[in-house]
Amino acid sequence: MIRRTQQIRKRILETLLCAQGYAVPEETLRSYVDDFERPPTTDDEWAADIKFLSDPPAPRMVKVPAAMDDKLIQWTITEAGRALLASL
Amino acid sequence: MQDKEVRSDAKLKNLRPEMLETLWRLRYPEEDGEKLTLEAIAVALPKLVGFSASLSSLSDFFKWLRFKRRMEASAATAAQARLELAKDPNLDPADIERAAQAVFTAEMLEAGNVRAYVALAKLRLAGRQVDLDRRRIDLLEKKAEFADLVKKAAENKAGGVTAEEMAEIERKLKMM
Repeated sequence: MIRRTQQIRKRILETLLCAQGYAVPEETLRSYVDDFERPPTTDDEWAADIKFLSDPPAPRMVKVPAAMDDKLIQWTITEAGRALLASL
Repeated sequence: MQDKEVRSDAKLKNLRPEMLETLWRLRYPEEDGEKLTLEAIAVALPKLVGFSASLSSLSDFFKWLRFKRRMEASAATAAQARLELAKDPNLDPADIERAAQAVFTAEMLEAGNVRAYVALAKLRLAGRQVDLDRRRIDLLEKKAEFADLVKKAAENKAGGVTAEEMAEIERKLKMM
């Protein structure tokens, strides 16, 4: 279970790292993670990992407002996120 | 065994871009090329990169590489849009950044082409400019109304407006 949680967090961060500084829509992030994880992430699992990675005081990823769609949630990696990814 | 797989997975992902391209072309060749199976790539891997990887690691690696390439293509499209928008002297860098991000997002959501996004971004920015202009006009109208009221008040008052009253009026105008 710990290994799966760690793997999900790693995949989220490595996806954000690939985005070359752009923010990634959350639905894209989840679809990428679910492409690898069997079984796919549950809503609770996903919410817990997003919370862990975005919680202050040193969030590993931060929300970026979407210019054309207020309801769209998108994320970008922080320095703390890069550091965590390197350690996973 | 699991640790060994994690290590080969990390090694594969950290290969130089040229080697990533070579491996991609082995698996997904251009038009007439021969597509190699994962098994064949696993056999060829030690000679190509100096280490081996399991079939499951290779399968994960190609999934990751497909996604990474899609991200890179989206980022390239966003960069193209940024260049296009930078030609417009009316747009400031923050607007251009926002538009480039919008293009990247739309690309990731598989929604369409760059020209449409640039047009949409410009339209949105133009819309914002119209809002600003409208607010500016409202403000000017309010100022004009206030000035009229002051003028009428001064005309109705014997002896005109005092220096204190004038200072108060100017203060209120500045606050508008």
